[in-house]
Amino acid sequence: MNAATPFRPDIDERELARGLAARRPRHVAAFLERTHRPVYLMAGRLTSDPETRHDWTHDVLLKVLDDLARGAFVYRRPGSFWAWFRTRAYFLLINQYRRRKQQQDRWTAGETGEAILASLPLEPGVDPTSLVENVEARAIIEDCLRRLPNADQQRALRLLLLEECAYQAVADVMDAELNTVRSWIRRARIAMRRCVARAFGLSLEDGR
Amino acid sequence: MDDELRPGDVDRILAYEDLDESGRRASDRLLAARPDLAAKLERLREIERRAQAALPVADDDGFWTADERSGADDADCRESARRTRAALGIGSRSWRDPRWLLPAAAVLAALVLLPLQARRGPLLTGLGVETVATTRDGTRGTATIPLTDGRLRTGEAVVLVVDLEDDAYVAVIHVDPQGAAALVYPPDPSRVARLAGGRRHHLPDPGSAGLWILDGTTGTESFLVATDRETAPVLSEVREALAARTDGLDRDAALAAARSLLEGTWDQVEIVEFLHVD
Repeated sequence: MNAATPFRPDIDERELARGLAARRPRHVAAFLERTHRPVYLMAGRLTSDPETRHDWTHDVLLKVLDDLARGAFVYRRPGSFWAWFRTRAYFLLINQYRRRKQQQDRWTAGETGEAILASLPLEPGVDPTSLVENVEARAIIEDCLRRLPNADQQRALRLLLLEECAYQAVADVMDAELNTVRSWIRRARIAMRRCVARAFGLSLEDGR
Repeated sequence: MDDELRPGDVDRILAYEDLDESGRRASDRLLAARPDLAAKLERLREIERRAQAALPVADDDGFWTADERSGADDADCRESARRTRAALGIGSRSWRDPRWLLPAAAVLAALVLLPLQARRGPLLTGLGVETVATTRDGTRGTATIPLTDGRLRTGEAVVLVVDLEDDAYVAVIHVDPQGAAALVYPPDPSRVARLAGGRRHHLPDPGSAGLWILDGTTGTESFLVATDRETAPVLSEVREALAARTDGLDRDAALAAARSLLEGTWDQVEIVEFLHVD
């Protein structure tokens, strides 16, 4: 199946992304119709409990919708929305699985990564420990971004850091002056890195 | 070289990528004097690089097509989808969006009817609000008339106009502008109301003594109309659950809680709203 047209083309991909960002019911309904089943089946590979499958699927889809509402996705070309969604859904599912393993105290990055690789259609040859560490790093970065009190700063840094937008692209997407965007990103980066440092136990001011 | 940190030094180091050339030179000097700080900055960059690493997704087909390796069965999947749709209010007006609360008369006059949930096709095919006509001397009659400007005034009577496709049990919850939620139909929750299909109903009966008269609290009035072809939940339990779930909530939260309560048990839930003014 082609990534650009994974489903019936009843709503154009770009229009769908816009409609989802605006939380238009017609678009949300079309999105759920297309995505719920594949996400649920992927969740079914990681947990046999129907209630957990539902919770994870529900969380994944709602978080994707929240991402879109916060402007985390930037449409670039045909297929980019579904490619973004697929990667995003994978990350969110793997993160749910990782967190549950941690809560159950039966967690090592290697074992958890092996289980994920055995369950999900990921590229062969991936280092399972590295996979889980990357997911964990992403989860902490996203958590710290979410904690930033200024929505513009948060979005600007997210686009730069996680969506690979250049400064000028961020300014274009946010319809803001380049210098303003630079200022937002600088402030956001400081706050985010302080948050990440705390999460990893790095003392910035006093330790040597 | 002075390696003591001054106020602002750490922030400048953390924003290294955003500094101009002179700022970077100054930071480079400090980092050279403070290898511990340089190591921490590099550690933070490494975490960011890991976060940026693309997930090694294999191929599209593996994601988008059903796979026998999943233990999920279709019934569970459909039920999960139904719950997620219900939680998102698919088909409903975007009630989470505060903009709809703006008392734009033109919007409210439309008295939008939108399905919140329809498990088995439309049962409730029409829903609107009318009021009871009054004579010139102020005496209420029994005929209902459409709202003149999409609004009702304090003291006027609310009558819901309900078109049913099939015979159905019906219940109505009212959420007032302050978030007070109440089961208002059937008037006696110990008696279920099963109404005939293929015709229009007025709730409550405009000739009855139990008219719904608007009191002094102005704002958006919401009515959730629940219908079910086959089973009627125990209404006294609905009333108790409604009180327990909505007590102390603001209007949006109370409306969401009431909707959630109905969606779990009724075939179809619809909402109708209008602006109540002085």
